[in-house]
Amino acid sequence: MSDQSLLLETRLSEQSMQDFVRDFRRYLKQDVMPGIRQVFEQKVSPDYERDNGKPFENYHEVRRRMLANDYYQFWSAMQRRSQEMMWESVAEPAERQLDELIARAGQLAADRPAGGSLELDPELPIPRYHTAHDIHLQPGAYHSEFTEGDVAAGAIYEAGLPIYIDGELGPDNDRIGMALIRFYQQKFADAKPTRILDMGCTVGNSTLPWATHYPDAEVHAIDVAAPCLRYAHAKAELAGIPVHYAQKNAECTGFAEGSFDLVVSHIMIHETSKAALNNLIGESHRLLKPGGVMLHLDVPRGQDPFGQFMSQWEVYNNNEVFAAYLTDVDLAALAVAAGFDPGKTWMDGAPPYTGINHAYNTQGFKWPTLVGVK
Amino acid sequence: MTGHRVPRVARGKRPQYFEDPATDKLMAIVVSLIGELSVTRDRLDALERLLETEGSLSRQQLDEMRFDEEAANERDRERRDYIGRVMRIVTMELQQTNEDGATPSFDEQMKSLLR
Repeated sequence: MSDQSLLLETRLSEQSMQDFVRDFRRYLKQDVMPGIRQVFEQKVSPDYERDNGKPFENYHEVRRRMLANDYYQFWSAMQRRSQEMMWESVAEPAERQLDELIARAGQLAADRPAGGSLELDPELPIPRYHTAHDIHLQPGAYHSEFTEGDVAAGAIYEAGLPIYIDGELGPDNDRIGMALIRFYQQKFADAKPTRILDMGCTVGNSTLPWATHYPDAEVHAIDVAAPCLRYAHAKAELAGIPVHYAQKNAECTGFAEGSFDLVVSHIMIHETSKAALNNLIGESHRLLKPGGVMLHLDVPRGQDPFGQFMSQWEVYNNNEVFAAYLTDVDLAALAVAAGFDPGKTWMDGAPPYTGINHAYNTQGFKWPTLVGVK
Repeated sequence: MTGHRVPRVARGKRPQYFEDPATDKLMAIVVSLIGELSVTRDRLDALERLLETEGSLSRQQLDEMRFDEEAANERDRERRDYIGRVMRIVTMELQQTNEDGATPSFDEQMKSLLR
């Protein structure tokens, strides 16, 4: 492992397996997945209309029929297996290099060359929505610790992400953050935030560009997962970008009321729960100064019954269970119920930063974003 | 080796994709095998490239190759790990209990999130 990196190094066969998983997923996405819509339009949908005398009215009906379709079954089973193999392929190099990574992260945390900070709270309860099942099938999920000062979950997440997304979030995996920053700058052209909070930051991929774009702002980022935060802190210090990381639950952060100009999250809210979602929107409102802005960006949930059904794949097959609820929920109404002004609260769409060619990136793809101004 | 063990199986019930659950297991094994063969092909390619630039070896040498105890143990370990990876699906459902020791169904998980 080189002295200046927190990335896992791979042996020839490990790299070959990671390369295989990436390429297998690319094949599934490019060569197999488009056929699903074809099968739907040419067979499943006409069959349904013939049997019922009417077209599909909702994604529940689509799901019932598609689950019995052999083309879908094969794609789905292979997609699931590829996700499992992705984590398997990064767990091995992580195990081997863990002591070295922990030492390096510890050194960076001690030296703090960028002037950021890390505050851990070992007493913080890990919420049920993280412990009930491992989100994205990452064994142990974000929060599990396997040894003292552990950073494994962060390192594994970091190594898995570019394989998962086929590199489409850029070399620094930061293009979701970049997309939200550009959206914010377009919608709030004059804003000069001095304190920014990123909720559910994981390893800080989306946090870092906020700190880079607003070097005069104090950037805070929170997560419940200590191993991800240790990794995030070390990564920020190594990159020379000051961020203040803390182990906190976004539902109840303990930060002072009215202490932020901007509260953001990047594809986090679908990994929570009904109660947690209400709580964290309420907490966002509490934390904002008057005139402050809340931005919660999440994953598109489909426009028609077929699109909604496809966007639910991660729900049923990748342990993003709570995301099912988001398909039918009115987030802006939740925000209003949590205290935001109806005239200053809306659902918007943040265009992707660049180069995104994700499976659900049909023409006009935008990241659904809940906007609220206090 | 640092002796750390990171789990290989995620908590949460694995969906069933085909009518016969055995087909699900076979499918998973097949995909794993495709991956392992891909790795082998990459390795073979690397070997060929090395041979091309660094010299040569004979088929006889390969055929007659013997391993000392350390190398033999290493090769045994590699082979057993390989079998474990490919066959993981056979025992996967035994490892999917959550922290309460239960394997809640999808509906039960959803219910707990909507409480």
